[in-house]
This record gives sequence, C-alpha cells and structure tokens, in this order.
Amino acid sequence: MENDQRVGTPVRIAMVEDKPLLRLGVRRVIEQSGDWIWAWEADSLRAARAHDINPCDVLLLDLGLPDGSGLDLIEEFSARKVSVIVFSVLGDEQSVLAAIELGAAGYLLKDASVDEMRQAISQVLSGGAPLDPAVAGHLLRKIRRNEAAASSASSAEHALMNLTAREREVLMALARGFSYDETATMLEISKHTVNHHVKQIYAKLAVTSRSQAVFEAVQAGWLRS
Amino acid sequence: MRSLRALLPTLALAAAFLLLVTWLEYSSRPALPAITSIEARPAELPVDLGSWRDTEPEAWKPFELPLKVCRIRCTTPYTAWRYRFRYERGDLTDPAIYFPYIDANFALYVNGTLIEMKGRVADPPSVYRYDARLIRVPISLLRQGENEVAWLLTIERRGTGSVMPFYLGNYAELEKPLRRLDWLTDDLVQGSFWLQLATQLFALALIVRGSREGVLIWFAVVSPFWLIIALWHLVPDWIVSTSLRFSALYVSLFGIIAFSVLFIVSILESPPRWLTRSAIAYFVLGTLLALAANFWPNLDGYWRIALPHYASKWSAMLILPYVVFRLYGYVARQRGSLMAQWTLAAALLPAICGVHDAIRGTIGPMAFALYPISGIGISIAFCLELGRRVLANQARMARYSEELAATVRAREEELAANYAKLKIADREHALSLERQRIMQDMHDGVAGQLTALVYLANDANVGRTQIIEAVRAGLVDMRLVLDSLNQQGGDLAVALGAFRGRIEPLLRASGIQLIWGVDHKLDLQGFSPEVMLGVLRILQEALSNAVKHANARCIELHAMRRDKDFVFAVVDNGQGFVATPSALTQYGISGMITRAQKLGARLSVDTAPACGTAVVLEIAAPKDHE
Repeated sequence: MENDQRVGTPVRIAMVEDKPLLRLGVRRVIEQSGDWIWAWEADSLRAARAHDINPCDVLLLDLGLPDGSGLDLIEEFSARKVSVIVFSVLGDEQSVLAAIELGAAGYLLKDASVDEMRQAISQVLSGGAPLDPAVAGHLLRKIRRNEAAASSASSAEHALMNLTAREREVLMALARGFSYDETATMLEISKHTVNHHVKQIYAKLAVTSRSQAVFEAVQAGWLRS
Repeated sequence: MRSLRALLPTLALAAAFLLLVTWLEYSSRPALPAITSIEARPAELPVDLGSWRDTEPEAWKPFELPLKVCRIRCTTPYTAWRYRFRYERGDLTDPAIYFPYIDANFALYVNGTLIEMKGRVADPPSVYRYDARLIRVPISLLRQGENEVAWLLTIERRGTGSVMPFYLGNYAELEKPLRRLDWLTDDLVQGSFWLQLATQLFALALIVRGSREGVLIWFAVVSPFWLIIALWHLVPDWIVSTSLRFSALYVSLFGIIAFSVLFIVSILESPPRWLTRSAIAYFVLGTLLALAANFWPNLDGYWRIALPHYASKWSAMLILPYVVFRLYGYVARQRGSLMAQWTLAAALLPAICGVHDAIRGTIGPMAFALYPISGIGISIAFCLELGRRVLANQARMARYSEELAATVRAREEELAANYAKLKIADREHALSLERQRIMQDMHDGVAGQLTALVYLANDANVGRTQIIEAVRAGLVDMRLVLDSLNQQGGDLAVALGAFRGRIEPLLRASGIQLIWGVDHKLDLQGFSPEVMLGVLRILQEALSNAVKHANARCIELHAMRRDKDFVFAVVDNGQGFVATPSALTQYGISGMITRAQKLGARLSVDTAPACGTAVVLEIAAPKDHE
C-alpha cells in the first residue's frame, strides 16, 4: 500500500551526514537518477531534527555524527513512516544490529558502489527487505551466541530468538553470500517467500530486542510482574 | 590464686566423701548406750562349738572397746570375750545383739549356747572380714537375773582384727542402723567394684581396637589390682589358702601404689623412663616381700602380716606427696579446665581413703577401712580423663577444621587472584597479538594501497578509472581487515559470504560474471581470524589477478571439503600465462604462496596460455573440527 501511494510522485530522499563532500557526491547520484528528488540534508542530529517539518521518504543516515550517534534518529524517523537506510563506514556487528533493532530498513556501507546504493534504495521503496550478506552474518552470529547461552540458561531465554527452521535456513544461505534468487532455488521456494522470511527475521530481531530488554529488566528487579 | 581455686573440686570432693562416710557411720549407731566395758582372756577351741562354758583356766581381764584384737592376743589364736548383764523379764521383748564392726571370725554364745557363727572358727581358722551383724537372741535363753554373752574370736594372723563397741537391745531398734551401715560396707563397695569392672572392660576394648595411649595402658594394668582389693572385701574366702590370699592382697596393694602413680602421671604426660622402671622395681620388690612374708618357713605369724603391711603403708605415704605434686602441676597447666580439676579430685580419692584408713583407729567415728571403695576414684578419674581428651580432640578437630577452611579460603582467593591475573595477562597478550596483527594488516594492506595511490595520482599517464579501481581495492582490503575483526571464533563460510557481497558488485561493474561454487552445506567454522583473513586475502588477490591480468569474463570461486582439508579455488577463463618464476612474482603469486605457507596451507597454480588460471588453496581443517 505504501508503495502504491508513491506511484507517480517523486521519491524524496534526505541525508544526515557530516562530511560535505560525501553529501555532495550522493546528492549528485540521487539527482541524476530522475525518479528521486533531494529533499534535504543535515550534518548533525540537531540539524536533522530541525527538518521535521520537511517530509522525506528515505533517509540516508550516517551513524558517526558530531553531536551523537545516528542511531538516535532511527526510531524518530521510522515513526514518521520514513524508511531509514543506515549509510555508514562502520560495518561492525554492534552498530548493524543496533540499527536493525531500532527499525532501520536497510544498511548500506559507504564504500558501496552507486549501483548498490540505487539498488538498496529501490528495494526499500518497493517494500523489500534488503539483507546484505555481511549483515546476515552478523545476525547469524548473534543467534548462535544466544543459542549457546540459552543451552546453559533457562528455556525462557531460549525462546527469545525463536526462528523457524525455514527462516534459519534462509538466514544461513544469505549469510553465506547466496543471493535471494540462489537462496530461493536452493531451498525450492519463491523469491517472494525469501523476502517474506527476511522480513520475519527483521521483525523477530526487533521483538527479541524488546523482549530481551524486558526480560533483563525483570531479572534486575526493575519491574514487578 | 587461680591455681588454688583449681584445688577447690579436690577439697570439695574429699570433704563430701568423708562427710558421707562419717554420717553413715554415725547414723549406723543405735540410740542406745554402747557397750564398751568387757572382759577377755585367751581361750581354747572347745570340742563342741555348739556350747562354750567358762572353765576359768586363766583370769578374765577388763577391756575397753574399741581395740585391736592383736593387742590382747594370748598364746593361742583364740580369745574369749565376755559381757555380763542383768535381765529382768519384760526389759527386752525381742532381744538382739548388734555388732557394727567385728573384724574377726567369731562364735557367739548366750549363756553358753551358740546362737551365731561367722567364718570358720574351727582349726584351721578361716578368713574373716569385718561386717555389720545383727543377731537375734532367743528370749528363751535369757534368765531372770545374771546373764552372759560370750564369744570366741579368732584371727588368722597377728596384727589383724579388731572389735568396735556393740549393742544389746530390741531387734527393731537395731535394724535401721544396720541398714545404714550396709550402704557403707556393702552397697558402696559393690558399686565401686562394678564400676571398676566396667571401666576395665572398656579400657581393654579400646586397647583391642588398637588404641595405645599411655593413660589407657596403665589404667588397664592398675585396674585389676583394685578389683582384687574390692573382691577381698566382698568375697572374703575367694582364695582358700591363707598364704595365697594374703599374698594376693599385698601384691595388689603394691601394684596399686606402683601403677596408680604411673596411671596418674600418664594423664599428664608420657611417664619418664626412670619413673616407669622405678614403679616396676617397686612392684617387683613389694611382690617378693609379700610372697616371702607369707611363704617363708618358720616366720612368726605377726611378721607375715606386719612386713608387707607396713612396707606398703609407709611407702605409700612417701609416694603420695609426689603424686599430689604432679597432679597439682597438671591442674595448674590445664588452668580453666573444670574437667581437669575434677580429674585431680577423683584421682586423689584413693589417697584420701588411704589417709583415712591410716588414722581410722585414732579418730573415733572413722572406724571402717575405705580401701575397698577407694578404687572408684581411679575409675572416675579415668572416665573424666577420657572425656576430657575426647572434648579436647573435638575442640582440636574443630580448630583444625576452621584453620583448614581458612587455609582453603585463602588458597582459593589466591588462586582466584592468580587466575584473574592470568586472565588479564592472557587478554593483554591476545590484545597485543591482535593489535600487532591489525598493525601488520594496515601496513601491508591499507597503507600499501594508499602509498600506491600516491604514486598513481602523481603519474600523469594513469587515468581516473585506474585510480578509482585502486581506491576500491584499498577499500575492499580494509573491509577484509574490518570483517576479520568481527570473526572471533567465527565461520569462514559467513566471511566468504560477506566477501562475495563486497566483491561481486565490483566484478559486475567490470562485466565479469562470478560463479559462486561454495557448497552451501559446507561447515567452515573454527578458523582463527588470522587464518580467515589470510584465506580471504589470497582469494582476493587471485580474483584481482583474474580481473587485472587475465581479461577473464567469468570467474568461479569454489570451496569444498577433501578428507581432512578444505580446498578453495579461484578459476578464471582468462588468457592464462606460462608459470615461470618471474611470472609468478609479477602476478603476486609468490606472495600468495608465502602467505599460504604462513597459514600452514598449500597454494598451487594451474595455468597455461589461453587456458585460464586456477589458483587452488588447500588448508587443514581446524583441530576441533568434526
């Protein structure tokens, strides 16, 4: 439905990035695309928040900003139905997972090619769930760690990250570098189903994140059930 | 003062014991006037013991009771005793004669008729022992007016036997004092005997079970002598032979004196050798003396008793201060131990009895010898000492346990601290290694790339495209380094996936097709970050060569398991080359081979002009890999 609303109207893209040259480079790429328009740009958290009256559809968000982490903006913009694509040089597991848990629609590394950038934005706009192999690898490692911890902990903890067998297979294949098409062929399912599973994985990761927080809070005695 | 206070239990026990004895003795005396004035003279054994009449061969002499029989002994072993009294009908309804103490065999006659006999009076005279005796007098034997009570006394040996005052009255009046006296002369002795027997058996059981403590051994040695002494009183004729019986008595007395000292000293410490030898020598000498006195032919009967009697008596009086001194030293050392104080009190009980017996003849109320019951003190001391040792051992064990627990705690803390230090050291070592590795990687990779870029940028002949490619190659290499940092204990298959994600867009941009031939079920977990980065760099280098030099349109990347090795292969359909050493160096293959060797892997290149190139890397599976 969201996709349908955008039909016929140019997609507005904004960017929060503290490096002017990079902003300029990306802006040119976007403006050359034809279908997309450059909505606004900001070089800090404060400046980005000042643009709350200027709507946008996609926000390319850098994490390392001078006045804080870009992660702080993800929830705010996601709540306004903005698809946030984290655009960072940091590809470490912590920031990737944090971004996804906070609701980022995608994760794009700054060294990605122009094509990759276009592809990621398009995929997000078409309602897809892009899952880069590196990001899938991070997710897989997190699941394995959780399982190792849960084997020696309570079953309640084990239930926190409860992927189905199929979701797990999809994640495993993507983490091993197989494309959506290859994964679909290997698992004898459609590409659409792969996309569905990926969305489920995202959703479970976000839910897990919240459940984990509640679980830990109860454990710490902060909440009384 | 504290040491003096430690003697209080001893004084209290001695006082209580003597008061009890005195009270029993006093309460055993009827509220009747005691008969102390009598007559006596030597006598001959009558032919018929059933009656005895005064034939007056010798004049009667007046005597005052109490007295020792030996002091009035005549030339024969028999003495006749007589008391004359007037009786009016109605004076006594149930007449009886009460002897609280008569230390000899006797035959009692009323007006010449035998009414009671104790022990064997006939020749040879049998054993006697003092005993309270209440004898009912048949009223028919009494006459109106003058009456006579007479008794024949006999003793086995000179120097023994004595008579206390006696009473003549109604039976009922005399019965209660008799019962009191029985407590002292019978019940207490029996109680003492059985307690000693029980403790003796207990001590023997402990020895049989393997305990060899001095206090146990010496108690087991001395205890039988005390039992013999108690038996001497309870069963007077348990040994028929007089000489043997007296020998047993005095051997036991010498044994008691010698080994009680060793027992008491062993409570304090292991008895010194000189003391053990002295005690044994004393016992042996005493035994020889007792045997000689009793079996030496033609020895006067008086000396048969007197020699061992006085030898034991006076040696005991000499040894006693030493024993008291040692016991007092023991209590002084065990200050604050109530158990030790009562052990001293109990151990000194035989000494108190001995003093009592030595002076009993000179102090009126103390007439009964206490030696048959004095062994109870040694038994009680033994029990108290055992109890004290058990408690001391328990306290020691508790202390040891606490010390052990404290030591274990300290060791655990020390271990934990050492472990923490080791952990920190390990972590620092690992960090240092990792830091070194990253520095090396940055130097080999990014820094090298940037340096090359500077040269490229300064070269007017180098186009913009080449510079962009070089920058991208540098970014890919940096990404490999960053990825390797995320792969702690990780999965090479996942790292390969990320690698594909980085490299494929570049290849696609160059119009090259990448065929991903990694087995999707291949388990590549367990490689170290260094190995993973090394493998990825080799694969990256091979791909880069295929792009730059081979003019390949299609590159295949394969990963598979072959026995215990993993095999990675980069195969292109490019122009290939002649694998000369210079070509290998030119295309960076020598560096790849060196890098593979550092990883413990083998790298081979299969190429020929126009036949493409295959770079194959074989690396052993990690040790913990299934």
